[in-house]
Order: sequence, then C-alpha cells, then structure tokens
Amino acid sequence: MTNREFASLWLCFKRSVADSREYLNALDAAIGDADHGTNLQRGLDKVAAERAAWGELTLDASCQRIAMTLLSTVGGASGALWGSGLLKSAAVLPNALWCDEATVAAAIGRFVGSVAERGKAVIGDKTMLDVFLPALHELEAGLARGQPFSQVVRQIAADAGNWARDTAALQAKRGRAAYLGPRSVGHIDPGAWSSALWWRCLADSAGGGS
Amino acid sequence: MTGLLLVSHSKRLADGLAELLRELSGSPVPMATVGGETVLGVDAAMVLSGVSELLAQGVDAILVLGDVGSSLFSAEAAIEMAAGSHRMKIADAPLVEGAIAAAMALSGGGALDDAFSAAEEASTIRKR
Repeated sequence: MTNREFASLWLCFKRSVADSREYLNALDAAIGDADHGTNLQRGLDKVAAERAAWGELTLDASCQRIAMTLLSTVGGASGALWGSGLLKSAAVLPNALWCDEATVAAAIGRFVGSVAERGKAVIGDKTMLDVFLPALHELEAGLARGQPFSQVVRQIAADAGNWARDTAALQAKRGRAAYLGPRSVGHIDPGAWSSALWWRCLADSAGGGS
Repeated sequence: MTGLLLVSHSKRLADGLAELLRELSGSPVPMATVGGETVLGVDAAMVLSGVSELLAQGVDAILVLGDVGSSLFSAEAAIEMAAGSHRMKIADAPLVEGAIAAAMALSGGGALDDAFSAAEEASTIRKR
C-alpha cells in the first residue's frame, strides 16, 4: 500500500460517513445517543482538512496524525477506540511511503487487538468488532492461501455489510446499548455499520492493484 | 502529591461532584474536572487538558474516576498519549462513591495507591 492509497482510504471513509451520516445517527438513536454519524464526520472532516497540509507523509506518520485527530475531535467510545487503535497500527507501519500487504494486515491486526482490549469486547457483543474480527480473519486467511490482496479485500467489502446487518440479531453486551438489554435486539450496531464502510473504502483504495 | 481527575460526559456533573468533595474531604485535595459543556461527551484531548491542569497544581500522581463506559476509554487513551513522569491510575468505581472514598483517603494523607484502593472498594459498600 502506498501513502497515497492510505490517504485515499481515509478520504473515501470521510465521504462515506458524510453520505451515511443521517443513517448512522438513526441507527445510534435506536440504541445510543444518536450522534455516531455526526461525531465520526466531525473527526474525518478534520482529517481531510489537515491532509491538505501534510504533503507527502510516511505511512507511520500519517496514521499517527489521523489517530491524534480522531482522539481529539471524535467524542465518546468511537474516538477513543479508533484513535488508540490507529496509534497501535502506526507503530507497525514503516517510516516509508510504501508497505507490503502483510504489513497492512499486521497493522489492521494491531488495530483490532487494541479495540478488543480497550472495549473489552468479543465477537457477538454487538460492536464494531463484529465486522472487524471476521474481516481480519478473512484477510489473514486469504493472504495465507496466496490470494491477491485486492481480491481478498473486495470479498471482505462485499461481506462486511452482511456482518454489520447481522448485528441486528444480537443483544448488546458493551457500551451504552448494553443498558437496554434485550431491547437492543432488532437494531443494527452503528459502529459495525461504519466499520463496514471503512472496509469498502479499503477495497476501493487498495483493492485495485496486484 | 496526588490529585483527582473527575471525568464525566457532563462537565456540570463533574463540577457538582467536585463541589461535594471539597465539602466532604476536610483538607483540600487537588482536583480537576473534565466533561462536555455545550455538547455532552468527552474525548481524550479533554482528559489531557485536565491532566495538564492538575500538573500545574503541582501534582505528580493522578487518580482518574469516570462516569460511564466511554469516559474511561478516553481516559485510557489520554494516559497512552500523556508524556511526563507523573503516575496515573484509573479506578473501576462508581463515580460519586468512588470519588468520595478517594478524596477522604487523600485528605487523610494517603497517596495514589491508597486513593485507588479506597475508590475501588467503594463499589462493594452497600447503601442500605
């Protein structure tokens, strides 16, 4: 992945979240405080605005900048989870303008590990991990089978919407939605939905080559 | 010297708690409050500014108490980001009872670890 592909991933994510803002807010209204779309959009708008000033940044540095921006502009669980997860990813990305696909997978693995640790969530808890965990698993398995990265992430992007939709059947175990108990069933988790948008953007940005 | 950092989705909630603690704790305990004002919620940068406020009061150890879920995520993220030699701990405690217990421990001459244990034990104290 090049640093330009990395930047285009985040610009795509900014656009997707902006386009889906009302839907994400509506999902959050059902089980949370109705601001997931607005919150994420605020952070990603800032990322996009700062991006213009970066010029050519290495992968580790740009990942770290995005992390710090999200930490300071996106409130609530999303900001802390995305931000500190990306700080962990930045630690495995190289001080270079390019990295291989195994490194991308390792960076995503660190991100997922951080989110799981901080949120103390596991699969089935109705969180963003219900998209990120199966996605990471598919990515690692696909690369281990020798499939091209682009093909693997395109398949994940196609599946991610279903994984997010499947959270509707789950009862929330973490976050504010957990206070709703059984009443959280029947609603898609907004964090899972925005995570699915991120994977689609990864496929769009880095899924074209190889 | 150990200080308390009260983190809430609502700054007014944290401020109200600080007011209560000043009344209850006897000798003064360094405190800072963090929380949403016009918009409710808390992020890591807000927690970091609370940390700076306490350090400016001459504190070298900080006990963090938070309200629900994501305030603690933000506090953890802030601890990772914070530079410096001060110590920080996050208590797994009910905000009001934990803060009272911690403030009492500190005003009685306790240090960070005493305040941390007092706050965590507060969740086992029944009210009736």
